[in-house]
Formats: sequence, C-alpha cells, structure tokens
Amino acid sequence: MVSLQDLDTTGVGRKPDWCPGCGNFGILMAMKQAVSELELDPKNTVLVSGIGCGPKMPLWVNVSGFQSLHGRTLPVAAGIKLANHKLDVFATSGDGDAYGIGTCHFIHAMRRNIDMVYIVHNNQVYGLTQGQASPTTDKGMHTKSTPFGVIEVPMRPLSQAIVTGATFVARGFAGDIPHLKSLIVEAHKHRGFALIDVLQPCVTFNKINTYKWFQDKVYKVSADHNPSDKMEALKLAEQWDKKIPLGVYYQEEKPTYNDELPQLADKTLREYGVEDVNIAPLMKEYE
Amino acid sequence: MDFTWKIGGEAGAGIMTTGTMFSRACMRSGAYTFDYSEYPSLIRGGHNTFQTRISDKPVKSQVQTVNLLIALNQNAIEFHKSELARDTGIIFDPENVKVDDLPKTLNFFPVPLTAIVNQYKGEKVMRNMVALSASLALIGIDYSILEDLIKKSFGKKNKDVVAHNLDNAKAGYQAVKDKEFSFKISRATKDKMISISGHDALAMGAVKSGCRFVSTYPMTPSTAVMHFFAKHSEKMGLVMKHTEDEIAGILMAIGASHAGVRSMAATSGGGFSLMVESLGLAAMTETPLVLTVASRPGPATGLPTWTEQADLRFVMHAAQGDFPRVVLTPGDIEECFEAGLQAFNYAEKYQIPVIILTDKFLGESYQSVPPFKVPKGWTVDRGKLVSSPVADYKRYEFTDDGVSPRALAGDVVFGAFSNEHNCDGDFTEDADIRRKMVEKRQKKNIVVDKRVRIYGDDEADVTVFSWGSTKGPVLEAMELAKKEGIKVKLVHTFCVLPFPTEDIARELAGAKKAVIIEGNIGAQFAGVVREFTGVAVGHKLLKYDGRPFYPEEILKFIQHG
Repeated sequence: MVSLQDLDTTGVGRKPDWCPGCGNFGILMAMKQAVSELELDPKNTVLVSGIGCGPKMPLWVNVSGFQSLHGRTLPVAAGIKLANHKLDVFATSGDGDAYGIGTCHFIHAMRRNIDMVYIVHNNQVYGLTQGQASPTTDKGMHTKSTPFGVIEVPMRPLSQAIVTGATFVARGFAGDIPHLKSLIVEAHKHRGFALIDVLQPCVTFNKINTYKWFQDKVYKVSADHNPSDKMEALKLAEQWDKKIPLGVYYQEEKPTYNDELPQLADKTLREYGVEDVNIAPLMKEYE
Repeated sequence: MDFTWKIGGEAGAGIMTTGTMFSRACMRSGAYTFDYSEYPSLIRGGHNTFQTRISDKPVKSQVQTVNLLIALNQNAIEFHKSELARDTGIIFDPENVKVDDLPKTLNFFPVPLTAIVNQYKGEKVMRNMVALSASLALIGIDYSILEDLIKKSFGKKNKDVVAHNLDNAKAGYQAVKDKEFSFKISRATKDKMISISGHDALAMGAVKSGCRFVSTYPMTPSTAVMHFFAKHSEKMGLVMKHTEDEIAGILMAIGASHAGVRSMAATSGGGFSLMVESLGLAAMTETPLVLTVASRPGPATGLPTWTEQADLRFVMHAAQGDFPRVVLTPGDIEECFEAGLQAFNYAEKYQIPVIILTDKFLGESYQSVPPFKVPKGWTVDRGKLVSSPVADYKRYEFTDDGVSPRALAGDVVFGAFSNEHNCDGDFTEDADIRRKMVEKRQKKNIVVDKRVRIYGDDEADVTVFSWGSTKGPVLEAMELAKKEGIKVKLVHTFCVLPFPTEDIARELAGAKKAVIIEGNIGAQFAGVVREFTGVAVGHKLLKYDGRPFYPEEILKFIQHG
C-alpha cells in the first residue's frame, strides 16, 4: 500500500514550480490519489511525459519517471510497455505536446490499443513558452502568436479519439479532483489505451478559459449514458461552447496490442533475456 | 576460376529470386560467391539486374566483366553489352530479344523461354527459371542441386507451384544440355557455407547479442533489418514494431531499452534525419541505443535504391549538444555480423548511442561465408546494471569513469529526464552541476576492439585508407595490383568514432604513398583523418554516381591516379 506521503516528493527537495493556482496542481493530486487507491508499486509504475508545464509531473510523483522530448511521450511509453508489459504505464502531455507536435503519435497510439493511461493537461495555450495559441485554443482568441485572433478552428481531441479507435475516452476537470481521481482509477483498470483529456485552467496565459468559465459549463455525464454507443459518445465530445460533459464518453473491450503477440503470452520481452540466443536455426535458410 | 553471371530484365520479373538461386546453386557446388544487384525505385517495369561472381577464392566484390548473361529483354542487351568479354555466353529468347548487332565471337544460346513456359503451364515469371536452369546446365551444375533449391524455396507454397517450376527448370536444362560452353564450375571448398547479405548478417549478430526489439519505419536500403526481425519474432521471442514514422521508431527503441530490452532502430539517411532529436534524448538520458543507418545517395530522396558513403559526417555530428557516441563502419559481411554483435555491448557498457553505418552496396550484397561464429571469449556485457533496489540509488552518480550505475524501469524508482539533471536525475540549471554532468558524459573511456584492420603488404608502394563498404573492392583491387607488380596495403577503419588516431597516424607516417578512397564528393573521411591526425592526404578517389567501387577502377587509380 502506497500512501500519498510516499508519493510526495517535497521530502526529497522536489516541489512543483507551477504558477500558484495552476490547474496542474489538481491533476497532480488526483494522480497521486489514484496511484494510492490502486495500490500500485511505485517502482513498477512508470510515468512518461513530454515537454511543457504539465509534462513536468513525473518530477513530482515518487514513481519511476521518464521525460521525453516535446511531443514524443507516447512512443517511449509504448516501447516501455512492449518491453515489459507487467509495468503500469502512464503517459502525460500538454495540449501542444499531445495534439500539436505529437498528433501523429497520438493517432497511432489509439489505433494500437497499447495498455496505458494517457492524461492530457489541456489548458488551450502553450504556457511554458509564454502563452501562444495551441491546437485547442478557441477560434478568435488573442494570444502573443495570434494578436489578431486565432484563425483555425480548435481541434476536438475526444471526437478524434473516438473515431480513431481509442477504447477508453474520458474528460476530467482539474477543478474537480475526486472525479478526476476516479477517472484515472477507471482508466487504469481499463485494458487498452485510455485517454483522459483534462480541462486545466492556465491562470497566467489563458484569461478566457478560467476556473469560473469551466465551472459554469461542466456537468457529469448522465448515469444513463451507454459508453459503448459510439454515436452518443461523439455527441458528448462535440459539446463545448455551452456545456462540457465530464466522465467516460466511450469505452469498449478489445484485445490490447500485447494480447495480439503470441510471443508475449507467457513472459515479457525482457524476461526472454539476452544470454545464450541460438542463431543456428536462422542460418539454415542461407545454405 | 573467376566467372560472373548476370541476369537482366524488367523489375518485378523475379530477378532477385532467380539470382539468389543461381548463387546458392554455385555455393552448394563448392564455389565462393558474391552477389550484387541493381534495381530502380519502383515495383514493376524499369530494369533490374542481379549478378553473381563465382571463384575458387573468397570474393568480396563484383567486377565489371560479365561471362554469362541472361537477357530477359532487349534492354539487358543494350545496357550490358559494354560489360561482355570476347566469348561471353548469352542466354536469350529469340522471340523477344535480338542479338544480330553483337560481335560474332560471343556464344549465343537461344532458348525459347516463352514457348517452354507456355508448354509447361508456367506463369510468365517462370521464364527466369528456364533461363536459370539453362545457365546451370552450361556451367556444369548438377540438376539435382536446383531441384532441391526449388523445393526449399517454393515448398511453403502449394504443390503446383513446385511442380510447375520443376517442369520448367527441367526443360531449360534439357534445352542447352548438349551445348558447348568453355567455363565449368569446380569445387573449391568442401566447407558448408552460407550466402547472406550484409543487413541480414547485421540483424543476425544483433539477435545473437540479445537484441529483442526493433522499432522502425521502412526505408530502402535498411528494410531487410526490419523484415528479419519481423519474420523471426514469434519463434525467437522478438518484437518488431513498424511505427508511424522514424521519430516513433527511435523513441520506442529508447523506451524498450529503458525497460531493459536491447533495442535497435534501422533506417537510411532520410529517416535518420527525423531521428536526430531523439538521438540526443538517448544521449542525455544515457539510455543504451543501437541505430543502423544504411546510406543511399542524398540529399532528400536522392537515388533511393543506389549506394553512397556521404552520411559519415552526418552520423558523427547529428543532434544538438556534445556527447560521445560510437560509429561503426563495417566493410564486409563478416564485419556486419560483428558490428551487430558488438554494438549492444558498447551501448550498454557505456550507456551511449551506437550507430552502425552501412550502405546499399554492403547491406544488400550477398557473399558466401562460413556460418557465423561468436568470437572466442565474447560474452554479453551489460555494464553497470543495478538489478535490485540499493540504498540511496543515484542514476546519474558521478564516477571515475563517467559511467553511472544503471537501473531498469520496474526495478528501482528513478527518473530519466531530457532536461539537464543532477545525480538524482532531478532537473537542474546549476552551472557547477551542468559542467560536471557534461564532463561526466564526455569522459567515458570508450574502448572498441580492432578499430583499424590492416591488409596486404607491409612494404607497400601505395597505402589505401578507407572505411565501410569500400573494403571489398579495395581488397580485390589489391589482388589485381599484385599481378601488375604493385604492392598495396589497405588500412580499413571499422570504427570511425572514437577515432583510432594513433593507428591512423602511424600508418600515415609509414606510408610511401597514402591514398583515400571513399564514396562521396566531400572526401568526408579524409577530412576526419585530417582533423584527428593533422595530415592532409592529397591523393583521393571519390565516387558519387550511386554505383559501388569496382576493383578495376581502383587498380587504375592506384596505377595512374
């Protein structure tokens, strides 16, 4: 059993450096609570991230961490899971990381259904580089890179996920920690690729999508919602301007990528080891 | 015995399969073989060739003269007539190939390929089989050898495919059985040999060393590595992941290595361009990683299916920042196996990226060699691996040799971050720690075995310095030079980084005449030699037309260059 205190890094001198009031604090707390509730072994739990404000999270959760490059979270996480599928793999990115520079990996990770949880800190701006528009910034918003307003329409990442083949698609809110924690717990229990897009207010660079803005719009997905209904899930994913649903939009059971590899049925790739590989049979075909 | 057989025809006509069978039939008859193929970047149409050189001595490159040509179409005549000797044999079908304009001294063997195929209910592609069988008959190879090869090659397909091929092969054999041809094969060795390409040899070495994960994106001429791992994945306990792009390819390999599996990505220069940022990630996190970079002529798409050695500087310097790396430049099939075998030890021992630089010529040419054996005393070396939790573990601890104890994901709680970090792995921007971390990474005393390999005469008139695939043609040229009374020595560099400064400087100092031979316009290796030794070598043979070096042109350079 791992306690919240075990997962805390302030004792070893590591303290989050996010702006006071940043939505990332809520996500960090929900993450730690989920790991604790799931009773995961910290050394067996690998949290992989990219670059951005949110992707600093592996520094501040006392589990195994790997910080990749900007946009390059998911392939590293996939490599770890393919090498040792007994590890509990979490990946975390910001919206620029996940839906901008990392889009190609995002799409293909969902097709693959590798068993992992992907938490996207979606604050609709590039925070670490001082507030440029991101792929999820609303049309018309003025930022340093769009002084005359954003021209493109925003990406709808959850619609994208549903049509691309993700098997668990959910939305959380950094301002509702208990609910977000329960989503992370459910996502981890799900076998396959689980996406949680988290609404995360950036108190410094996004003066429009504030805590208040979200609080006025968010509501919990109804208990009657059937998450295996793709068309209904899409309707939820397309809601934004007036109301924003929180919860599991879509879920389906499918074999994971590792399930489809017979050579990994009895042991992990790592467990095959490196010693005494016999290549004699491989040479036969060249005779 | 030094004889070259060549088949030329339309791409998609099964030239590769036919060529491989010819070569293996010769190998099974006791000859040494070397195969070189040329093909355009398309699936059907265009002109493909496959040539096999057979000899009573081990052969390491193709030569310019062809002694027996199968011309499946008119192009094969037009494109290759300049390569024919006075008495070269030509197998052709008079129905579609005209030979009237060729010198009468040639030996013409008209075989009704299409008519035979039609008679024995074969598909058009089986014209190759008829012609192949005819060539074997002409040079005196026993039909039973071909029969066995056909059964082995097509046995997995249905019985009809085997039967039709056998019918056609028999007809081809009969068609020329009573014809005279001056060359007959003879047994040069009784040893069992294998005929294998550079890239298959490299992949085989990697598998032997415990590499179980390859993630990559197809790019000619590197793709054989991907295919090798995919093909053997289920039986050998490997995973080959074809990723969305090369960026994901290198990153997955980094992830798998972080979790304790020896991992590799394989690509060509274009794909390596995409991998460059992540190469730095492996360096910064000190994650062991092996990359195979198979060069082809660039820049951009260049000549996708041809050869060049112009990526040496690129792989030596790619990625922002300074960090150590190993660059291996194998020169022949055996060195490809050796590179695949050793690379993972260097990567894990020093926790660095290791790049194996090959090219189309080396990677896709086949040579008959004795079955691979692991060198005596070779063992897997995983370096400073921490397998169970230790008190106060520091992933990036400062050590005398710059190599820190390495834990694998799942064994110990630790972080590996792409930002500069302190000994615990935490982010830092502290000037003192930054300086020490850069020095820690840089000071690794990387030892690579036998970085320079020397061949030939110690009292040489000419000393050739080369690297990578140029080795084979130079060794062949040395044989030619010997006949001309010129003594030549080859200083072949197997490992360009860390650069073997002492060896190269010593050889330069002792050389009567030093020359550098390499396949690029910028004389990249010559530049590296000058950088490390201070010696500018003036005599250079550089080639960048997409074709490999031929021994004959190297001889000419040695004589007159």
